[in-house]
Amino acid sequence: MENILECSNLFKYYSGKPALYNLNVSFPKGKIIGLLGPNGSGKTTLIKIVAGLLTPSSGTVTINGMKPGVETKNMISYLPERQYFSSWMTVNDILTVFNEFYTDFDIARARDMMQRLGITPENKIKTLSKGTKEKVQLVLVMSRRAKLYLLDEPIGGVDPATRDYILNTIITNYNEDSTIIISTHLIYEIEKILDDFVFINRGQIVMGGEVDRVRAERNISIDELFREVFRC
Amino acid sequence: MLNKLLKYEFKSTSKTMIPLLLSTLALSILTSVIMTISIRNIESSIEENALSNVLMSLFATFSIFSLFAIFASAVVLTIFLFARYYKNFFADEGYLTFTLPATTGQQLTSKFISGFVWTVLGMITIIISGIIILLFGTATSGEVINKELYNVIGNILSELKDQVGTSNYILYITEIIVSFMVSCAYRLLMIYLAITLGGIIARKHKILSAVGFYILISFVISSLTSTVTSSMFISTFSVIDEDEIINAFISIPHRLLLFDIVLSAIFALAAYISNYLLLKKKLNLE
Repeated sequence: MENILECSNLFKYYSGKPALYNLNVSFPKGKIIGLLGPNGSGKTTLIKIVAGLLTPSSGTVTINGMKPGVETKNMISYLPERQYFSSWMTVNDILTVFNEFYTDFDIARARDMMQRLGITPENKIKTLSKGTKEKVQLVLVMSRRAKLYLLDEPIGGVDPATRDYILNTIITNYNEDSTIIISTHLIYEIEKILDDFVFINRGQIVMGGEVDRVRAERNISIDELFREVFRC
Repeated sequence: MLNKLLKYEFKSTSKTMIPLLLSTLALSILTSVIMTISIRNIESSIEENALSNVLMSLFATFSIFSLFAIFASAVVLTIFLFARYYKNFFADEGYLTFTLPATTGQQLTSKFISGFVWTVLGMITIIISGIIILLFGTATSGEVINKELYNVIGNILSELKDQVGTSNYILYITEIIVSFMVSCAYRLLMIYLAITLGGIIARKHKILSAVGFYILISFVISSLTSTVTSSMFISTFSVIDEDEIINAFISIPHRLLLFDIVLSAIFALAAYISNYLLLKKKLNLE
């Protein structure tokens, strides 16, 4: 099967300290993949390089065979771990921005999801609660028909009920050809929706595979496996 | 894509800029009305009384404050533009800016065009405000406009026109306008470059570093410019003999203005290209 994302010999240093250290990994098309690792393991760095927000120190990244650029940004729907709304924007404004810039954005679907969440499109985004802002951002990201979704800690800062909503949104908006990479350290909550997983630590891939196979072979959950591998 | 970026850019900047520019104009009109009333009051009141004194000093204070406010609006406009550039590119909003399917060149060009348009509009607003206050605010009773001042300025300009000839006169004005535009572009791009340097190189205190980089760049450029300019002056004046002195008085301003335009254009281009390369090759939103 063709890969949507390939990283080879990837290095990234922050003022001399390695965040990624000779990382090699490839992700197949059509899977939901967990990018799992402890805090500071390099998850966000890897995702931001793929999204085009960080420049690698050395090594190569290709998305569908292309280096990060306009074409890859068109294919990637990225949920960052922070909020990028301008203070003047209403929900309607950001919907318009997404609709104008991304040809694969399904505005009807986004409006529908906003309505079901009880978000009034005329509201200014800065007046919404933190959890609601995260939902707005997730709705925007999942309303695109992207080839590759990069979700960085999508359930990190929200309550369990919202977590369920987010995971449900991810699954119901997912189509067979696209790939979703979810970075998190909250493995227990997320592992039920994963096809594959990779463990990342100190900027390198430690192990990876199919979730079901590992569960069957070792008779433990990925959460338990993670606790074993990363035992302090 | 550039069109879309520009549309979005102007949509968000005009929310601040249009009220700012309009209120500057309104303030200058208000000031000129108050100044006119004061002047008429001085002229008509032969005997002073306490009330008119208090009123007069209030009016004078107001006029001074509003003059400050008009200049402050230029500062606010500039700071707003640079804060926006920083926020859109290097703060959290950069996560949206740089994941939109636009090239680095398109992003930078859209920021440049919007910054340039607002800077020029801001300058024009300040100039119009100045004209309103100078010409209308100082009108004596019975007049709408200060005719004396208007005539003086008119005379100076027509004198200049007679001395240098119409074609030179038009050329001067064109050169001054072009040089003003190019130097606006160059200053804007220099500061954008300084902010990019601060945003990309510094890991902490990015804004402070941007200021530092700006001072550094300005220093390098001003020493470069003064060296080139002084050598040009010497070469220009050394070839003049006495018979040519009248011609020289006409041609030297042309040369200086053209020189300024070319130099500013070169610096503007250099700033744009280095900024583009930095954003393209070294972008790191941490």
